[in-house]
Amino acid sequence: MNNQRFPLTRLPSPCSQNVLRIMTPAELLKLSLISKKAKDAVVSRNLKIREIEVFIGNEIEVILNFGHFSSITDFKFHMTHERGAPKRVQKPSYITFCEDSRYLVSKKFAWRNEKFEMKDWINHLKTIFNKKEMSIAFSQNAYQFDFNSIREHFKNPTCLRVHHTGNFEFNKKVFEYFLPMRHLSLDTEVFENRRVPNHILIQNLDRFTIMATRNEGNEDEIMRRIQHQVVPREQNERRIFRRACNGWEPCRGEGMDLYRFDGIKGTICILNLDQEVYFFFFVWYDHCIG
Amino acid sequence: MSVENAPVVDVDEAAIPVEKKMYYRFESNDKKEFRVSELAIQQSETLNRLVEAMGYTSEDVENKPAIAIENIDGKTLKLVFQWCEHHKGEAIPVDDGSVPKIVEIPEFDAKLMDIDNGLLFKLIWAADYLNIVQLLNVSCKKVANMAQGKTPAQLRRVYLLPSDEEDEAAKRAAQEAQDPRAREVEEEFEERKRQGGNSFF
Repeated sequence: MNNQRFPLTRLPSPCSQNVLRIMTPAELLKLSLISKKAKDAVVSRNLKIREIEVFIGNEIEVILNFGHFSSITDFKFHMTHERGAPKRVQKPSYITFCEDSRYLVSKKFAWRNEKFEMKDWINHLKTIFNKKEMSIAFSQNAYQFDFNSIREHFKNPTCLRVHHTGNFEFNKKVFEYFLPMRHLSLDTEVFENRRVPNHILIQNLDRFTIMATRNEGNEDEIMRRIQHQVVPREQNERRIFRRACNGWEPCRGEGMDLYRFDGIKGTICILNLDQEVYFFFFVWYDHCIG
Repeated sequence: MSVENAPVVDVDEAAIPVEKKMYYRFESNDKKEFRVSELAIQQSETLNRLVEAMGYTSEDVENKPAIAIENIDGKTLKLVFQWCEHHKGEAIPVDDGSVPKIVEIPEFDAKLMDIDNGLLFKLIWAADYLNIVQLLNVSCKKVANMAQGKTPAQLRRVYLLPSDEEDEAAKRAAQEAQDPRAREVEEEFEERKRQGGNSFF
């Protein structure tokens, strides 16, 4: 047998499946591109990805987060764009990726795939890594892309992350098109006056994160005009919040209780962690009291 | 009798029988014989059950013919037993079905598997047949590692994987071999579809 070749499909079926179970996500992706049969074999391996995020900045990247094993695999899709015109999302001319893993040295690869449009890549990744949802993130210089071509290729994300793209009109278009969204994360710099508009704040969200620079106001200033009652840390941390889907969590740090117009109590906990400030909002419906 | 009243006996330590290490004899399909320790055999679920069922004594091992392993050759079996002897007494990993499976190749195993791919293929086959879980894991890991740094096209050549066209051609050939009329029927069906009929019946 040639030492550069190994007949994988001639192994007993449990053995070839075992090889697939041991392969890293990046190796599985490469395997899935060989043929329909190879793709089916990868799908049946049932590796579940935690998150697929399309990251739009200077270039388009797809970040695959597997959580437990190979932490993040970051694919960059290189496209040739006309000078002067807005960049259209198009068939990538080549792809590079860097695999970071707790177990392997970080590696860089590059290859061409002339068959796939960008949307085909996304569908392929969703299929082989058994994930229906994807996230989309806009970052610096994303405004250079033609918004219509973004809409065409990245439909129905379930999570949106927005940093300032460099153009407020473009930022606005992002919210207009993609909202409502289950998970929303935004930077206050996205808005000219750094204030999050009410129509964004007033909606049903599963998770909402606002990123703001520290000098935009301290805790006292934020709560200055809001009538509230401070609950000491020892007392606050005894309160348990029952989540709708995933168990429960205790309140942390000092609490600030306030009441909605309909009498429902809410608590805000502000925590300083690793030089960042986190705000936790708890709304105490009857079914949320643990 | 209470413990206090039990007779005190001087014990001659030399007279206590020392449990002898038990070895088994195995023979490959090309008539090569191997002596393998009982503890090493425990790494193989298949062989362990076999020797338990046979209930051999040390005398039986010497007097009876070696246990034949008919579908593994001497070269492969030598590697298998070297691996089992080196890892004897180690816990056998339990497969919890987790995906992905984390496997690392120890230095000894890496040296043992510094072999050509033909022999590696036989080694995996043997590890599966003899149900040696950890040997199967490390040898499969070696195969998985062959994908590192390769493009999909290179990977196809390394693993000898057929393209869609080759799969399709193989499928057609298999169908034709099974039923010579299948091709004619398929063509007839395609022709009717072209003529606008959406049902074959």
